[in-house]
Amino acid sequence: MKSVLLKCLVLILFFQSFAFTFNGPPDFHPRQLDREIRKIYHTDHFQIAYYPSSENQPDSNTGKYFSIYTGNTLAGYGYIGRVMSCRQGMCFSNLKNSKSSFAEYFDYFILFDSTISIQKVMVFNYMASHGNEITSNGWLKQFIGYNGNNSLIAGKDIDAISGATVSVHGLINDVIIRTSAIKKLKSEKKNF
Amino acid sequence: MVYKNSVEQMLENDGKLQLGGYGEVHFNKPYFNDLYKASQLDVHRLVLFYGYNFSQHTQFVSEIEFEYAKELWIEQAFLQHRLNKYLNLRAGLLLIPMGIINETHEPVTFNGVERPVIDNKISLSTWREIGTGFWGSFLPFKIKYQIYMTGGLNGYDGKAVFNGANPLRDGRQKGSKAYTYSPALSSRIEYFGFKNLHTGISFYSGNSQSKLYSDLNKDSLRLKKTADSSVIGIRMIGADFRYFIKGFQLRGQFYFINLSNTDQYNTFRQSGNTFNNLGKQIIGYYLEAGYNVLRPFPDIEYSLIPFFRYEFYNLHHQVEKPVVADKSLMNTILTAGISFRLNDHAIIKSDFQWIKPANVHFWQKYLNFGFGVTF
Repeated sequence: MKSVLLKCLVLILFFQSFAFTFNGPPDFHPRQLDREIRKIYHTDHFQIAYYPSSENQPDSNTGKYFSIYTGNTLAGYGYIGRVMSCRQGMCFSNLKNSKSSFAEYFDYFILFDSTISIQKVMVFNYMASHGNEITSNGWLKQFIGYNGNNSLIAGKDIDAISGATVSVHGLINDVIIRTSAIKKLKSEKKNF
Repeated sequence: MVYKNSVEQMLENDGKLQLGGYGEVHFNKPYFNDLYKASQLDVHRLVLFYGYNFSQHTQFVSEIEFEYAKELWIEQAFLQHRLNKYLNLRAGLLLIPMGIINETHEPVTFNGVERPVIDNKISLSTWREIGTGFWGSFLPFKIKYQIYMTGGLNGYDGKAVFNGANPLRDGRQKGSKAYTYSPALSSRIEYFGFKNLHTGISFYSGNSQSKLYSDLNKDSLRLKKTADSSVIGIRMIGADFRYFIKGFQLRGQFYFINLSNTDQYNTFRQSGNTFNNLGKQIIGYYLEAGYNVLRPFPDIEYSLIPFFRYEFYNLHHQVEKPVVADKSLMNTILTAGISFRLNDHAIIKSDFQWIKPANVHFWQKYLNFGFGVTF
């Protein structure tokens, strides 16, 4: 019995040693972001300019807007951040105020072209216990071309997924909000 | 000033407490050619969820279930701790990850008033036992895994619990003073890399438990032999898929159970003088297709999904002598119905079911109505 316990302990410590910074704010520059920017904008030479969070961006610790430049040319825009999810039927709590302790979430990014039309949506960190289907690249392709003017309704424009309702709606709502925010920032010609 | 009770305040203050629930109310009317049959009206399930987030990586999750408006059960109650991105520990009363329905059973997630028949006859939804294990997902590979060690099914407690017509279902111990001598292992791997397709394979392996071991002297070889013969080995596999595209939905489920030692087990009687007739192999599957006919109308929020399900099971797929395969345990079930989703949280359902055991030439018919909610 003792040896079993010891083995369990060793196993836990072994896995614990891989403990990434899954706690705390999202990774705002994952390697997947660079890889996808290279693919979408066909360049190895680019700079990411994050929109300064000081400018009254209310949730800057869970999301960041950015521009992508190739040399001095503006190639497109992007957003990277976290979406709070929850178990089906356990979304009663006030998500906005619970970010510090919320265990069900996922992190993703959107890449837009210079006219603010979506080129790529990618989920790079999924920490919710259900709804993993939304991380499928095939499913996420449905967002390509969205620019804030067309509709984005689950079950109509975006295929609904049974058992992943919460994540599907969470992602759709966030994409709508972020797209509209980027349009606003662009129209105000904010420096980013 | 708006008055808020303590729960509301707690919810607004830190959001750590989570509440929710689901429920379903059913009407079932049987039609038999030669017999009068009463209809049944039932608050089949009313489940209250509550959970607490202690931190970003430690949670408690529970479900309290009222069944048939009077039975009180705990459906889940576990503590979960995230060790890293790929590994979460879980301990407590756990859902056995077998098939689609056992884990995802909120009424808005499936068609038909009742759960598929094979999830009752073969898989044991809602199947839960106390145990521990871990789960996680590997996002780059689009894989989610679960592996748990739990208490086993009760197979003998003064009488044989399993039999041909009702193989394993009554053996569930549901975390209520469950006894165990040997653990069972359950696991599930899900793959979600293909667009709109979710597939899963589930395994369960363990011996049934027997109270004949209770206070048994380890030197009593004869009694130990008797106790051994009251135990069956259970190996179960489930394979499933769900595919959704443009309002069209297709799902399927397959179960296969292999039981060992059924020849010896069947010498234990269940009641009276009749020998038991537990089968050695059990098989069942269904295929279901549906389409949301309101999808082409962008302004309509509702979904109206006519669906059809073909289901088959055989509880005597293979038997050991002297049991003779009973054809009444081989059934075909056709279900045709309509699901009317008011939104993602409320659904009204109706369906008609035709059930035919292989030993008769007529269909038993059932008309079902119901609604389900989840919030």
